[in-house]
Amino acid sequence: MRGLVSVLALTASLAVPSLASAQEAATPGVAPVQAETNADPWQGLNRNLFGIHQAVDHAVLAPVARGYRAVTPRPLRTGVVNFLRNLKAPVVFANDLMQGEVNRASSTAGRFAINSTIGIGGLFDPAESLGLEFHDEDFGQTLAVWGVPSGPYLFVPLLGPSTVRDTAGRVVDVAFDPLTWVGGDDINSVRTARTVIAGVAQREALIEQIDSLEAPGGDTYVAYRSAFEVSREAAIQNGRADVQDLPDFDDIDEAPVTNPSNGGASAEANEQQTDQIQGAENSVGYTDALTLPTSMQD
Amino acid sequence: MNRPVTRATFLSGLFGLGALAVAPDALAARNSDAETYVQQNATAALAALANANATQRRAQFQRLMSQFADMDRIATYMVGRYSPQLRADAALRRDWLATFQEFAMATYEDQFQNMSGGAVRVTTSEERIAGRDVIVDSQVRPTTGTPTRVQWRVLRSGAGWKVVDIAAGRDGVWLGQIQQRQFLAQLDENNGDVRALINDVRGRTATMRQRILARS
Repeated sequence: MRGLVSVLALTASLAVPSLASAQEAATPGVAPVQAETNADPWQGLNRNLFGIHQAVDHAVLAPVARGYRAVTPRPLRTGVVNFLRNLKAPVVFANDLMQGEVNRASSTAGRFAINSTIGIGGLFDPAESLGLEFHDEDFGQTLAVWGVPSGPYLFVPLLGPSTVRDTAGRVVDVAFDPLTWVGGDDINSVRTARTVIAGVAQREALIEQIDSLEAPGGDTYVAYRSAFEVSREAAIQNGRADVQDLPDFDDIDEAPVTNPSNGGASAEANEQQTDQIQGAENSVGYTDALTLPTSMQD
Repeated sequence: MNRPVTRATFLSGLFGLGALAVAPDALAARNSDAETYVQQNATAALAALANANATQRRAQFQRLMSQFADMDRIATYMVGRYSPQLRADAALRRDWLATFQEFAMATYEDQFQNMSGGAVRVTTSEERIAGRDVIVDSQVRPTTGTPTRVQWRVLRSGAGWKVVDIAAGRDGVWLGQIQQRQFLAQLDENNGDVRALINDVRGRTATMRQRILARS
């Protein structure tokens, strides 16, 4: 899927590794414009922690994740992910409720019931096909919904990009985890096994994304941070961000085109536009019409 | 009440809650014209990507995307608060637009090996500005794997609709916003020097091109 999304996202310039190290020269005559907010005041510390994380990741986590992928069939890995998600359902449910998301809490409860029974202890996800899609929640998101500021960006080795708020939220989520309250002689081994398996499974799922973020030539630290900030914001909004909060694009100076039926441009115009594109595709020598950079024409 | 009954009652309650959760959401203002545009052109893009001939595929997709996407507007958006420099300096604007377009195309090609054919199904839309700024929601089903939600933000310009950003995943992560933050982080550190950014982006594009060449 990542590849598919990559192509679709081309138009928006896909989330790829960031740019090389910044240059110092200022543009003559242009006053420097500072960042609107400085959400990363601990950048020096964070870069050091990020370096530690990368060293561990390259030496241990990534090889283990690739090995796990190599020796396990996809259905087994999917089962592991399903099982871990089901185990986390109480944490998600509690945070759904604390955010006032009754419908999502109902979904989580229904998923837990269905997948724990019909799904054989959570190994399968029949609830998904019944319209109860998985969603994640944590106490960091709950705090955000309650209006608690994120605080400075914080990179936690092994856990990844975070903020002060979200890191504190992790501690609270432990209280909602059933394994925290289960007793028994081997419970510590079970908790450790769950943590290790979850870490490997998560790293395996992110192999392509992290490879992309760490491609040569970019500032990987900034790439991680940017991707985290945007995706975290989307997660807090549960995918229901108000479209009015999206950024404006400049140069929208054309008059709106509406029609009584749908408020948009005419379907005929659409067809014509599509035909033009497809017709151009099918024409011989259409690349001549493109203004491509020299290196693209090689 | 014995324990098995309690457990059954508990599970029944959870099942009931799950049934409530499947209730449909309220409808927002839709724009069927934008939906049609995305459906037709996203389908065409995926069809182009299914071309087995690498050269034709590359040329087709570049051609398609240069018309499907509003590259000029996206490029301007990418430098955010530094964009006044582009309006004040026509040569700088031209250089940035060309550089960004090359970067965007190389990005696509660099990621092409992970591409798999798929089908797009538009599900709904919501107007941000009636008749000219619409978010179209879709499900993209790859040849292998599960369908993924993809949102397309399309703006109406003189020649018709154009895509300006895409959000991927259940929560809708706007990919253009991620890239913009990366560019702005660099510009913040180099006193807003767009020329320096252009040089860096060209270098990155060249690196990507070498990687693509090495793979092919």
